Amino acid sequence: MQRKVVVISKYFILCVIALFFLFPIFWILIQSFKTSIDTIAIPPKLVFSPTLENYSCVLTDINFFRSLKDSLIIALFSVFLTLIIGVPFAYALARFRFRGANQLGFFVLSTMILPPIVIIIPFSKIFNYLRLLDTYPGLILAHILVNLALVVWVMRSFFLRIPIEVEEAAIVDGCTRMQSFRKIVLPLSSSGLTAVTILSFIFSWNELMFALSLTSSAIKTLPVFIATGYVGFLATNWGGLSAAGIIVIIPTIILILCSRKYLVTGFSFGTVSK
Amino acid sequence: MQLTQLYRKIQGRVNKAAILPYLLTLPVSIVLFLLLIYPLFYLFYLGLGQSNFPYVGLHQVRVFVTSPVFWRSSKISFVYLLGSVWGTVIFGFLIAFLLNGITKGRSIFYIIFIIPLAIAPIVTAKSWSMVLNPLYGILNHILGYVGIPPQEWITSIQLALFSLIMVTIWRWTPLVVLILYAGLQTLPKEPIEAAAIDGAGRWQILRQITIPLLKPVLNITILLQFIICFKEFDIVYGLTKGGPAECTETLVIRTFLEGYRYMNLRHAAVIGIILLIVALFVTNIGHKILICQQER
Repeated sequence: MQRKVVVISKYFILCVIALFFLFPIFWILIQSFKTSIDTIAIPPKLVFSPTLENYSCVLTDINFFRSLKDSLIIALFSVFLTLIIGVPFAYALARFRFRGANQLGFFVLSTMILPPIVIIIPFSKIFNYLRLLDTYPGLILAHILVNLALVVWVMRSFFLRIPIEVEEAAIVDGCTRMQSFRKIVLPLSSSGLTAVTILSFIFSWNELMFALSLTSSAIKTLPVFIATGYVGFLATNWGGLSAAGIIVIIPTIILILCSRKYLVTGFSFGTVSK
Repeated sequence: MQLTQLYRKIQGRVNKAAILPYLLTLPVSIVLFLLLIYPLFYLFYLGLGQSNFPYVGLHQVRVFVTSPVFWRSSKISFVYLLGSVWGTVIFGFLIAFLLNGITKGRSIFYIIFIIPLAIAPIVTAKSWSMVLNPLYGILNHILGYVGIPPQEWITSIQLALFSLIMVTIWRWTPLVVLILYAGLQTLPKEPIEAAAIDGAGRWQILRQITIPLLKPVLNITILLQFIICFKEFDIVYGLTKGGPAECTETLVIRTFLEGYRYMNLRHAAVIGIILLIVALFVTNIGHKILICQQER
């Protein structure tokens, strides 16, 4: 009897907590189906006639599509470039002992530890000088910094898990080191590559601070668009903002649910593995 | 003839092997130099150098660092960090523990608990500001049913920081759940079963067996949460932008405002330097903890 009570109370507490986590998402979803007047009704309306007006507004908004394009270009290019430079680096960290390896590894890790604002202050001056402010290359470079530590440390932990004997066998059979990296190690760690790609895409897609400080009018990523696009001088268009918000979060929710096996490794930078 | 050829081939390979790690790390090294090391030197120049003769840079720094504005921001950052780090870790541990204790429906709860990690922080902040709004927010409306008078969640000096901590907990507790749940599942079952046979209660088992066994993972989690909450910008920016009456102005937000609203790059750079030093100091400690663990 006592056992049953304990089990039921556990489920009850979990349900309450689940409600806490779902509620803001539920509420923004509800708001996205309301008319502008209904979103700020006092008291808030739980019963209302749903409308798709907000979605049709967002989906016909040229500014939204421009932001979508900017976000996609920046996320895809920065993820691609980070992978190109980060994965070989991770391989070198995992497999070779060379001078400065620890220091380099630490520098990479420190990009994750530093608050971005510390680096943004000098960036805004340097980028201004190099005419990189408000351009694609500028923000793509900055986003490399956002994702580098993730790619390097997670890939390193994946590479370390591949037994060295596999590579030794390949080299004895006549592979060069690079061939064994390309043909043996990379395919064996493909799950890690997928996870890192998805996670760094999400980080870049959601990133606000660099985008807010290093771009202004020519480029506006989706988070910046949401932060500034619907906030007027006197009022906020909550309906439109909610609809845009829902559209922005749907792809990342799908991606994170697909990659949930690797989230622990990814978010803890390979320090905890399942 | 054949022998010398073979010898050359081997030597070529050896040399290549010696250069290879440097070749592989070269691109990242260049990127790190351009995007990390050079900007950091420039940060110091912005904060401490760059002054006409006679040199008054350090004097200005001293005036700023001893100003009430700076100390207020430090205090706010400290309270915010304390609340959100311990809040997320304790709440996350509770959830992970409960999740580990049930058998049916684990995966559904698990999926619900990781969703906040996927959501763009700015969307999180905006949806919470609709929930917490004192006039048309749903939370006050719901609390009204229970008989609690409406609160000014994000617009009053007393509650704004608390609300920020709450939203931060909403955003980052899922990460703690992820890590600690994985940690709990890898714990050996024998010590817990043995203790249960010896007649230990649930509370005793939790305090004296589960938590000590989980300690290495807990340490990493606390460190990770510290790093994440120390950097937090999006949620504060989206919800309060440092207001009302600057009572939620953490150091990060203050730096941003100094740089981009008050156009005072020197002050921004000075806070940046302080943030840098604190971050590196904590990393150092964290690094040592991790190394200790690996040796164990």
